[in-house]
Amino acid sequence: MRTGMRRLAVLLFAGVLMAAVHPEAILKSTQSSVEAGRDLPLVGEEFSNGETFRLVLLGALNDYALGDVDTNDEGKFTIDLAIPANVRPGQYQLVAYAPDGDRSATMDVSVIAASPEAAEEGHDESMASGATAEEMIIQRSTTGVGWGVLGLVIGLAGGFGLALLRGTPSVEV
Amino acid sequence: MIDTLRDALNERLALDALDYEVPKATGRLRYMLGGLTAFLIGVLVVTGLYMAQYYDPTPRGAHDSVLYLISRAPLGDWIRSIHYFSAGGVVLTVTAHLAYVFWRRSYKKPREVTWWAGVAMAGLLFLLVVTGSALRYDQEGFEALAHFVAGGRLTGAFGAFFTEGFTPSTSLLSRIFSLHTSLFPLLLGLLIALHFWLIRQLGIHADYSETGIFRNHATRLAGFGFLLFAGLGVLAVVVPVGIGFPAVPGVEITKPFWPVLWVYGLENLLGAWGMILGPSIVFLFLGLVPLLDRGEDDTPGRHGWVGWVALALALAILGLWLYGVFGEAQQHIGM
Repeated sequence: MRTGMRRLAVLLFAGVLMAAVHPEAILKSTQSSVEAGRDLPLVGEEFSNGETFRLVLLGALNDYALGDVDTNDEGKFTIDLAIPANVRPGQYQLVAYAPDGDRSATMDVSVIAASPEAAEEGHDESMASGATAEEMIIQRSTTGVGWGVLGLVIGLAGGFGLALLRGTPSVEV
Repeated sequence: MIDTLRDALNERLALDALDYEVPKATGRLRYMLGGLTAFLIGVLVVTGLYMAQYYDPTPRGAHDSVLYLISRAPLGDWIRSIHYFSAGGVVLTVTAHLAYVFWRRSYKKPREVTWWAGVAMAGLLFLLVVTGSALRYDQEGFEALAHFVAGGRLTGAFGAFFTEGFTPSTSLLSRIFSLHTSLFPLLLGLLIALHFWLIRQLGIHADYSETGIFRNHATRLAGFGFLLFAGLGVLAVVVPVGIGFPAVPGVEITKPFWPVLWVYGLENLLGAWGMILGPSIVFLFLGLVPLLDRGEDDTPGRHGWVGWVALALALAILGLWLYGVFGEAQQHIGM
């Protein structure tokens, strides 16, 4: 028992030490925003050597797979990352995924509306610049299990409310 | 088993203290409007806390973060809809509560402070509705924010906080978010505590010849509250709340959230000053009511001229609201 605890402590300590010594992968750019349809200069550092990482732009409504990038022997890469013209303007997280699916590094980037030239390749309806009082058509988050949970919550609330009303006299002592 | 559990809880949480006498009339729904308002405020706090985990209160990220909440956060769409309908519900319950308390003349001595705390809470709820509608940062939200700026400029030093020149260190949207989620709820909580304490100490303004116990009143209130929540839950499923397109500055084309439409109607008549004058007159009158309706007699409905003024104001608000709903969208602040 005691030996087991010691081993566990050593393992935990080693894990903490490795995390402290092993630097986190970094994504960085000279730009914090990029126009849709243009390139984002991107540098990756402190990644695993000689591996392929998947770059994905995570947004409020959509994710955009931007392709793969290979690191060199020093765990670095430098590319001009093409941002598709149909990317909706807004705030995004650029994420580099390792081959095993782990998030290796992230970077915040804002995408601004494509210029007419850059937008020639593709156009998103929500990028229209005219003001409107209309509402957006959005794919809602609640699906599958979510509907079950909602039904349960609503049913429990209604049932609990009825039980409280039925089980209580209207205030008499 | 249940009895044992109940006895254990009674002993440890001193729940027997809830067994004090209250008028039997409090078993009726019209005496629960204030309690239902408090229940809905609880729903708003819980759903608001959830939404705050996803919301980005910056002009650059606000609209996208609401889109994320609607389209990707677990149950985010439903929770946001519950928040929206609870906000509308709280306006209805607090208005009905205020109207019934006014009709019963429950603001008379010694309950003046109870009334003033209630009026202040109604004012805060109105401000919470207005600030909340700006946070979505779509065209409607942006125009709500622009109204804060216009109102701030009209009122000079009083409204400096609401202008963008107040500080360059943070955006007006962030400050409105801060008001909506910290200062206003804090003030509301303090006023609720004062309101409840005064009601407990001064008693309900009703006939005590027939009484019951508060625990039963509270349990029935919770029953109605949970039924209301279930109803709101169904409404949120059937009619999910949307969001407009990202705002285009310099344009005024939307109408505000329905509880504010009477102010919008007044703005149609008076311009931007309408948003200052309308709420100021209504809340000033409500604040003065205990001072205007003096005397010992507290018979419900016998307000004299104060009642006629209140009726005229209520009809004016209704008329302005209908004008706001059915009238053409207009520009008020010269964006």
